[in-house]
Amino acid sequence: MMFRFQRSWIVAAALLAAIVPLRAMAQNSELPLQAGQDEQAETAKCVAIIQSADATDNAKAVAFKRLAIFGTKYAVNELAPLLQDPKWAHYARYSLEPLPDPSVDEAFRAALAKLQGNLLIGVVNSIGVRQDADAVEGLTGLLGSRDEGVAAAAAAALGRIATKEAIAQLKQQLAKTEGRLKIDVADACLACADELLAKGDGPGAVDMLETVRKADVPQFVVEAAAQNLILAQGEEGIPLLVEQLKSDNLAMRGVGLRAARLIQSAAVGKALLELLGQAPPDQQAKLITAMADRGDKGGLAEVVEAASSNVKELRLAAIEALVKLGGADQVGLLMKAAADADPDVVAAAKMVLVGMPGAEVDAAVARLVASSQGTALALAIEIAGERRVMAASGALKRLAESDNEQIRLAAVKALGTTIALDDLPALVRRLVAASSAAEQEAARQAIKDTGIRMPDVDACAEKLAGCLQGAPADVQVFLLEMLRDVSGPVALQAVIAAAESGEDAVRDAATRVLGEWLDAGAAPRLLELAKKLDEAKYRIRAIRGYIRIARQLNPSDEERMAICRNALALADRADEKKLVMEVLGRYPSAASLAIAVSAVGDRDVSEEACAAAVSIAGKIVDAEKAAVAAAMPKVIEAANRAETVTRAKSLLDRAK
Amino acid sequence: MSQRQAAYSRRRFLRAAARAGAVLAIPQIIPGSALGDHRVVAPSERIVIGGFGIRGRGMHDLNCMLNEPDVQFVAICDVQKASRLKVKEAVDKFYKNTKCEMYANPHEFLARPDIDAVLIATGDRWHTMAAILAAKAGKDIYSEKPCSTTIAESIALADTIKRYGVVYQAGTQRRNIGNFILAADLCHSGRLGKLHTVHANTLAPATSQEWLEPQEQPSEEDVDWDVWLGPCPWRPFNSRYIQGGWRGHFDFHGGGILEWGSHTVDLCQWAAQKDHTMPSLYDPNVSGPAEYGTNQVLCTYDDGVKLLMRDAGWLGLGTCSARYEGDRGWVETGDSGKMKTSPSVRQFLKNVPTAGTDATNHIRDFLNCIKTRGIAQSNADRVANSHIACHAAYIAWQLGRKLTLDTKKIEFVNDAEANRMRSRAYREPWRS
Repeated sequence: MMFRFQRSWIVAAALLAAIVPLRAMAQNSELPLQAGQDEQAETAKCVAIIQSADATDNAKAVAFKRLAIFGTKYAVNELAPLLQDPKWAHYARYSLEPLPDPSVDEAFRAALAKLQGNLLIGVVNSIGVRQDADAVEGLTGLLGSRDEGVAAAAAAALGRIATKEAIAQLKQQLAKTEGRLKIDVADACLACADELLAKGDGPGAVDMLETVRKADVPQFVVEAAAQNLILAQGEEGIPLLVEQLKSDNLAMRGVGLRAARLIQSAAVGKALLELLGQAPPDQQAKLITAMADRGDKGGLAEVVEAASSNVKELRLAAIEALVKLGGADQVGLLMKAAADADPDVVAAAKMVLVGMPGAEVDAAVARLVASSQGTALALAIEIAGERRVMAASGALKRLAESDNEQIRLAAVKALGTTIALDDLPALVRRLVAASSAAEQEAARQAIKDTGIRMPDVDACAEKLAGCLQGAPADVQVFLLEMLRDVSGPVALQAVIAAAESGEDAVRDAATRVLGEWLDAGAAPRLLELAKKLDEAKYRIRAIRGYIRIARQLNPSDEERMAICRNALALADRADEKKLVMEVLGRYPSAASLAIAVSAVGDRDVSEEACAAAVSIAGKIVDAEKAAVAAAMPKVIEAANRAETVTRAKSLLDRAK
Repeated sequence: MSQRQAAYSRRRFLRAAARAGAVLAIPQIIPGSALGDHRVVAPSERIVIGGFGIRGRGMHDLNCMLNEPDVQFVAICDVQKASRLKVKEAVDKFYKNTKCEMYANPHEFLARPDIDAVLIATGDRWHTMAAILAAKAGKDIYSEKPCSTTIAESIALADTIKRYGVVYQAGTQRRNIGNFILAADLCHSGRLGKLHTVHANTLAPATSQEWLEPQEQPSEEDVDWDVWLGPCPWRPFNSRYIQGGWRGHFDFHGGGILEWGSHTVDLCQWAAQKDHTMPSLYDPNVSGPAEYGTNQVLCTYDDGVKLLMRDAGWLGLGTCSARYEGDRGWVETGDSGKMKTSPSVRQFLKNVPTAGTDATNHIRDFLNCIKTRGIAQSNADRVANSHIACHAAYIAWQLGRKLTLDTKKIEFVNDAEANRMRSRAYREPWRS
């Protein structure tokens, strides 16, 4: 993928621009042509601004940027002299570089002889972007410049142009240049090879890349040339790829490993496999990782063998590779590795056992749950839970009653991902009856894992709500948090009931989770609650939760404004009123302006209301002149901050 | 990569290095005292990193890197003296030494042969330029997003990374965060049925052409304003620009579509298995549901799948939300880590480890790829495609009209103005 101004496109675009008037429905930027504007006339206007002694620099900058989008040939002659102006040369190129007319190329070529230093570099760069083949002679002359920046720019431009003459010049330059400039020329040669490939000239690209690879250039450039040479040749590049992988040089082996991932060919997989038998263990590890990234299953037997290696790096790489290459046949091997003394091996094996896809793997794990003993059984249970092996759920329920604590806790956890809704109350009873922190934690985790995945949220909430009564306070708090996560109308009703009538710790939790509710449908119930609750702490929470729905969730515009109005009427503290002003500022409209203005006389929130009003007005003034004109005098009268008054006056002027 | 694999990759750092370089001259085992802390790391396993323009989000990335046992951070390059000093102070404090070197000149910084990789966390205007300079110096690259300011830059970035065979990871870390991985898995596994629409949370697209009032330019030692501007058009100095106030200015910032779309459009491309391409139609005049707001761009892939960029109507699941809809269900998630789905999909949900905007796993993925010469999750080709989609949408939004993009040539069809907006001439002497 390369970006270029193709000559054919330039011609087509020029023709199209002349015959098809492209007019936007409603431009959202001041730069493009606005509806009804003519590109010839606007070009002339922009040029006039640029040439004006009165226009600000900012206005000139905007004019240059507009010309970049629609400027016509007329602009070229007018802007060309500015290529010599240190202040505006770049802006002139900014306008000219994308202008699809051959006169731009002529202007740039003509400038080459008149410029030096950075201004010359800029024009050379623009010539490169436009890939002007007629500039090769001029650029060639600059390759020998004493200014290395100019010479490097000329080389880069020639690399992008990539004609036969440009290529010859670059090769010559690469052979004779030294120092930092040689790296720049080599970079130009690499870019040139890309251009040649894009043009379909594979042999030319290969020739250029060979030239760079054999040149006396820094190692990272040789690496780049080698990689691109392999990729440019496809399957024919595989011998070179193998050569890199066999190299004594670590970096060159890295080139081979990267290239191996980029060539989609079975022949590469075969080559990697052949090398695997010859390479030392550390290199085998990298080859196996590359094979896994490629998805080469042909080497599975070798990978399986390596998964039992005594060399840790190799063993880990092989085990990890099984997540992509392995299947049910490797479950036994992985279970053994998951019981290893080395924690890195254990972690790798568990990751693979959980991540390896396939129903056959699930079936193999279910069989292990049914047939294993001791630590192996605990491991099989853990994997069955993580993989959500539904076929193991019967065995897991039985194992959750085991006398062996390790087995019992593992099974309880695994139940969370496998049981049905009807079994949820039994998990809550288990939590209530838990005799140790570990038992409690296992039950809580299982309840969370169950609650998050139940398709019918109301049915799930009903089960959880049914467990609230009679449960200890800490369990009730946990269940309220679960109800928040499950959400839905049944859950909401249960939490509101708890907020109204529970013991203090439960009311505290209920009002807290209401403030975190994720459904805008909770708004009316929160409003009711805010009106009903006597205790200030909880009432404030209800109001804040109510306002939060307007601020963060997704009610309709009307509902949002209703929330703001109601909350303002209900709130008796400045903090909540300020929150309402923040919401209004976020959602500018005539309605939000009216609510903000209604609060400018409230001493608790007067300044915030004035600030919100001018903020909103600033965003809607063009569309809602009457509303802004009506609102701003009230702000001017109420506001104390000079800045707010000034902005309000300015908005009032705009609205009139 | 599955969520389990992502979590596992954290552990996977002790792998033989794939690159030699100057580090071979260093003793076989670096004692903790030499590194300035307790760690013992073989040089063949060590990745030497330098930073470009680190502050804010970059400090988070830096901390993630410093906490990886196989990273040694050795240098900071920044045009602002105060920022250079701040990073040096943080790095030296971490290593308990004074060895972090400071550079104002990018070329001098990149000429250091011992630096294997760079962290780029400059302002957006410098992301592409810094990455291209680093690639041309043979360095592997972790770059914050957005990674480009134009379509042309996106392409130049991908081409240069490919040309030099360096590892590139964009700072679109959600590809390595549990809830986003699970949401993408739901698409890829067919749980949602045939995917028909993906939604990307973007922000208001508008940017400004207005310059801030001119102020006296500081000394070059304190702030090299010319280099700060880099390839962008000249304008007079104002201290607000260098304090983060460059955001929202057209020359320096891609607006709200690029700001979040570089994350969320990338997520949508991933979910829809479109990493290799981008939409071909871009329509800024959408009359969708009112709650989706007024800043919508509806994009369509060649196979008819829709990508809707919008800044409103999300379910409150946190910043940078994404929503995927298939004919059998939908899922939406965001930076809170919470997920909402249709009832049909809930059965496939899991409690996943989430880390909000934490880049730890993503940076580990980058470091692992340096060692294996693998292809990173947010590699330059993927990034170029998702950024081109964002730029094309922004151009359509600016023009206020529907655009058709030839996704092979990366040219708009029959729209000369749009085509001229694909690139911006670099200020001299910079070039891609």
